[in-house]
Amino acid sequence: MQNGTESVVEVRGLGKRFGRNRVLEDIDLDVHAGEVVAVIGPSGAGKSTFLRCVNYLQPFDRGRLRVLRHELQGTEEPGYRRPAPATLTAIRTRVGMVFQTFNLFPHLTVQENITLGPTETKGMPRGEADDLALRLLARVGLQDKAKAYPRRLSGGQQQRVAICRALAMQPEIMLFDEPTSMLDPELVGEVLAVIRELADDGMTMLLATHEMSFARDVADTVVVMAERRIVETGPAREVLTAPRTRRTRAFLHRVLDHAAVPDDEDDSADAGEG
Amino acid sequence: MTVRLTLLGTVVALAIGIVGAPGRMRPRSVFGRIVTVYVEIVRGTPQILQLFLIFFGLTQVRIDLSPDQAAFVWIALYGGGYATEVFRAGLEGVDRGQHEAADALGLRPWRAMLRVVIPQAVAVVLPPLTSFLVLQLKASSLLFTIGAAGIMYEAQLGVNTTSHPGVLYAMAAVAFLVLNLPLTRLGAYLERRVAVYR
Repeated sequence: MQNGTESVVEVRGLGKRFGRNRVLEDIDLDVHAGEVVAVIGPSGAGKSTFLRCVNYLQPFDRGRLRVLRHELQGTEEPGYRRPAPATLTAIRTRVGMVFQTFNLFPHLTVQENITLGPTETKGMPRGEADDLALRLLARVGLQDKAKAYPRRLSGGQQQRVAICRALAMQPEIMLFDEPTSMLDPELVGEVLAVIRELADDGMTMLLATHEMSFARDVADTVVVMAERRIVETGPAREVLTAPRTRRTRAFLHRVLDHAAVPDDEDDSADAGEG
Repeated sequence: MTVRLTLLGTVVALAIGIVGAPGRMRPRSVFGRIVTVYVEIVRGTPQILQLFLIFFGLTQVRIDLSPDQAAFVWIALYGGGYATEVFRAGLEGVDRGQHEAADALGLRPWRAMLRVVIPQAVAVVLPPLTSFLVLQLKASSLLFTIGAAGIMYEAQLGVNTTSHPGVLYAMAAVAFLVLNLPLTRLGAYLERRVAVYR
């Protein structure tokens, strides 16, 4: 799953504040092609903000970020230069994003939602975009909803459309910001299935999620964020079943009390702390 | 006369609103500050005072406007202040996630505005816009105070010559109603049409 040694996303010392409120501190991360990275942690840890920095939906003030050969610096760094619009466009066409609140365009049909990106940004001809949209919808089983408006769809369907919309740009990296957090429990599965399929097909992904069993089964790497920082990183199975830091254990304990994730960990036998 | 003047002035007011609204979205920019001051003045001072300032007050700096010219200027400026706020509410009424989604797809800011934000803002803007138009029409009732022709002007003339204030003012009221009712009906119709955008 990890081919090649150069990372497609490289984050060094990334920091961000809103006014005087620091929300991200000293974030370091490498993501390799085809890798699935699950970002977990309590609310307010900075997961969403961090994801939005990766495609520069949010600028950041410290550190630097390299996304697919595009270099971005923090605004307060000495070498800072405003990213050129062309750079931002390039990043956003190669990095797709799926939001917690779906954010489908309500005034456009499902199909139009999907074709907007390619036709506007990539100059794809209308016919080709329509074909692409229908193919993507068929992959998620929603081809008969092509002419419907988003508000007629269930949450799970809307999110699957949102995934199609992001995939229409044919990205190399996908960012998922808690894609199932706003869904009714019975709809979560259908969305996770789509994400899982993408992962199996080799898509590089950063996925902020609360779905621990999904993270354990699908992710290669788990990054644990708490209070603005990364507190632990490691192979998914390891971090989720035998975490090394106390912070991670505390978090997982609270979360896993609700979820049925079988694990072989016994807290009392832990050696050492993080 | 009331109608034509108000109509023209309102069109200009809407144009001012469209230009001014983005300024209100960035209140700390230079343009934003200018627009904010403008809106505060328009909304914070009595209409009659604004009208008098334009018609009488400007003569002190040697700008002499005819009643009709002053009427037009005031309708445009006064309406512009309100229109700016209406359009601002429209822009802000569009969920932030829409901007994010458009950006994430690589849409340039003004294309995002055009294809994503403004179509949705239209739906938000229509109800207050119809109220705004009705307000403009009623505001024009003040124009007779500076001698500009209009419904009130005629009514006042009639009252001065015939001393039948009740009937004449009642007729003026009916005249305004007749002009306003189609507006509100049109507004309701348009709102139903854009309901799909919300």
